[in-house]
Amino acid sequence: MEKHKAVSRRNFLVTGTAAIAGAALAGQQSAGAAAGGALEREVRESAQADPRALPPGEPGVHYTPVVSPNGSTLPWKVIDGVKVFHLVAEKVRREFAPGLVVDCWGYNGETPGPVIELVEGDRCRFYVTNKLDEPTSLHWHGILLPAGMDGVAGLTQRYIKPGETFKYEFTVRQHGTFMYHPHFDEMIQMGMGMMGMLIVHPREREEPRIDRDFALMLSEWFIRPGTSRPDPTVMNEFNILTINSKAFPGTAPLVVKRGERVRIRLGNLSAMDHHPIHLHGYQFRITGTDGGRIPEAGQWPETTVLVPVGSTRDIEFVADVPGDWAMHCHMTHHVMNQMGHDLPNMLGVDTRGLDKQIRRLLPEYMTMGASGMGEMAEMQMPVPKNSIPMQGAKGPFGAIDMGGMFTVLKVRDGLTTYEDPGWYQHPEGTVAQPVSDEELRRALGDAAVRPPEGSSNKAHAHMHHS
Amino acid sequence: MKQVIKLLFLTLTGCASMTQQQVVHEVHDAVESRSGLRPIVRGADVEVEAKIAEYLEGQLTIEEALRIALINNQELLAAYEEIGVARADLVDAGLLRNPVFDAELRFEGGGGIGTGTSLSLVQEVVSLLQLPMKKKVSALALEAAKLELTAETLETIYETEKAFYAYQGAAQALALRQQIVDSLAAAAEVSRRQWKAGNISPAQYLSETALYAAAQRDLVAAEAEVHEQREELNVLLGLWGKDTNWDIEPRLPEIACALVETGGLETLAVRRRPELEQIRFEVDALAAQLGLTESFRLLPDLEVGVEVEGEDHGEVVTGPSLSLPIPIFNQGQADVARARAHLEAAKRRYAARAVRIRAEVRQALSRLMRAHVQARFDRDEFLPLMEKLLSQSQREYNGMVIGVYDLLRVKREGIEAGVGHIEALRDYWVARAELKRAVGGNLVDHDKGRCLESSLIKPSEGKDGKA
Repeated sequence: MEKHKAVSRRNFLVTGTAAIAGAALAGQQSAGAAAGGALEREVRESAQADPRALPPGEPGVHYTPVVSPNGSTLPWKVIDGVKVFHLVAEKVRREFAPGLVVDCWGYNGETPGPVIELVEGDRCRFYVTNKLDEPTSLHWHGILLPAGMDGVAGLTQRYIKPGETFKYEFTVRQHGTFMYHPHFDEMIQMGMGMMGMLIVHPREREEPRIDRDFALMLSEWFIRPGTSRPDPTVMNEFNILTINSKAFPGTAPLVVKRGERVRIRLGNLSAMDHHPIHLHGYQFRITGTDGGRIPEAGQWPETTVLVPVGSTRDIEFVADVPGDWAMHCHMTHHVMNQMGHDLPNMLGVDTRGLDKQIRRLLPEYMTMGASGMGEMAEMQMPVPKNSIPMQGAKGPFGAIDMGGMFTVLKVRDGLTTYEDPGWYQHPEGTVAQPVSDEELRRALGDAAVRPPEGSSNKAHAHMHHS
Repeated sequence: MKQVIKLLFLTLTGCASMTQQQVVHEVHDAVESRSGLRPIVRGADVEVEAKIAEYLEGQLTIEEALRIALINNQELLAAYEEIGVARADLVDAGLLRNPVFDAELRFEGGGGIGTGTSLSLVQEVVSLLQLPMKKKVSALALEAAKLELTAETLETIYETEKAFYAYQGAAQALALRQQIVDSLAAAAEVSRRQWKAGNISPAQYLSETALYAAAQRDLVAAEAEVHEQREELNVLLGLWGKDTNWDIEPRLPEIACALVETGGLETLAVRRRPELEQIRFEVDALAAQLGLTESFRLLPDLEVGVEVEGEDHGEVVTGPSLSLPIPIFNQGQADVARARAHLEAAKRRYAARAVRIRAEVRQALSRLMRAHVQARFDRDEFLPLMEKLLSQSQREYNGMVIGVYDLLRVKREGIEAGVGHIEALRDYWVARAELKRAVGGNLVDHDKGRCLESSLIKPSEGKDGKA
């Protein structure tokens, strides 16, 4: 990462081209190469298109690129001083988690679509090609722009017919966390996965510097086990919840070096549900919405940020405590994979002899849920193909029976790369352990010592495979 | 003359007394050539009981059931005794009319004929002439009786076969129906335990229990029907008391053959059905009797010496050719008219029977083919489909997509499909027996030397439906 002097917009306009030339060389993905003269021309041309436009902002120069776990960033080329992007609306296949592959819709082969990164002052142009079988449009959620570029089919533009390519162009005059998504047949198109994050960095580098910047798009789906296509007409029975269209254990961890200042940008384009995203181990500040940055005095301290449907929230904290920290939606149904609803409630039911009776008719039958569902994650019972009902992940201490909108923030000392560093190695004495009987007796008396194994009356025995 | 008459009498009775065993033997031949089954001559009662006990041991097979029916079906046995009556009729026909015992005949001579030896002689001579005709008529009547007995034997065989498969199928289906009730019992039990744990309301629990109770009730009715089928079979087998405790082979056989030819079945039936042949003989007998009546209308008197030596073998002396101008008994005319009417009626009966037989063939064939299609479809498509559905549903249950009630319901639907299959199989075997009855025997065209069915299974596998 290059460090350089902050350049304010005002400075730039006054000082002219020379400063720009030097800055430009440090950047990447600039089609009109290094020569100062060419850049000068670009600047003049973009200024003609919109006098407020600034030269295209560059990663490493103006900003630290955002990290999109399980995702990517949309590349651009500069044409006449304009950042030019190409988005293709199309069908997409996505593995939500190992064992679940889904037929979705998205952009450029992905759902969510690639992260769009802009810098305040950029003039940007988006070619949007529609490769779906029905019309679409593209709306820039939270962006200030000419009304005709807003992307509302029928209201601000004609819809983009299948096969057509439309052009959107505007100058960015804000910074923050925004989104993009269709504004035609939204229930279906967004329900099928068409959405993406749009990050606009300020022209001046912020202080204090953000070291790790993450973009997470939240979404929800109904995918019946054994199927491969979401049903976007479902309104209340979502059974798979995702971060960047991945369900735990498919979600890649957020890897952070200890001491780094972290920003996590959350966008929520779920059809119906707000998500209270809870981070373990830290107190953070809510520092921004899709309405802009919250002044410091107004930044809300939280451990859980509620991200309403159609909103973004930025949170920031310093990752000073190492460990594997769970980050997840706190709605309990949103951290389970594909479980059915309206099942008979077997909790607390006396099952003695029941399995035997039913097995005369159904040899593979086993009562489930009589003592809870936690152990389902460990069982390898045959389930419908292409489904992950109740599935969790193997963790360092056994099965992690979480799913859906769940990921892990991994904070480590001494990282040299941001590759997944594996599980946290806990220092001695910092892991919750079973306590010996002597210690219990000493501390709480004989009554606290549990009776020996085997005299327990639980239906526990049922759960282990018979 | 008396000497001659006596000789004739002895000869005739001698002939007649040989025919009872011979008659039965010929009936057995007729039965075997049609059905492939040969009834055995029923021996002493003790032997029969031992044989029946042997057959009833273990599980009753179709072969055993048919054998028991042939030696123990009381109605059939009665029919076999009736053949003695026909024989007696023949003897009766062969017996010369004794004027002493048959006063009417003596006076039938009408005017001009005196009583006494000369009259007797005259009448005896007339009777002698009538004798071959009456013998012919009675011989035809005997043939008819034999065919009637053949028909009854075949009827017994095929009714037994139908009753066997009907009962076997009903019992097999009942076992599956019991499983359906078991699945509802399991669902009711789950709901009872849920209710006990406070997880469902009394109404929800009672709702599941009511389904179970209704099914238990229906099962009782089904059981009663099965018992009725069993009793039908007991009647056909002539069994009662402790002999009714037999166990049947539990499973209907799978379909082993397919009909390859259906075109000639009606013709085969009309040719082979003993009932129809019987009417043919009755028609012939009536025609012969008509000839008898007609010819002897013209011959009340005969003043001629009778050549008896050549006539005791029953050679027919033609009536009409013996047309000598002789006085006719006036009373004879009514007899002739009556006899003629009987003949015409018999011809119509023949036609009616033939039409009915053809319809029976078509109906049995239609049932057979429908059942065959159903059973094959079940085996090849429907039952495997239900198996797959159950397997996938078990997976959905494991994945907590559906609950135990849904899973039990899918299982129940599979069992119901199984019941339907058993019913189709049973319909097939019953229809096949009915078709055999309709065509008058085995599904084999002996004239063309060809079996009308082709095997669907390799010879080493499975069991063929018998006969």
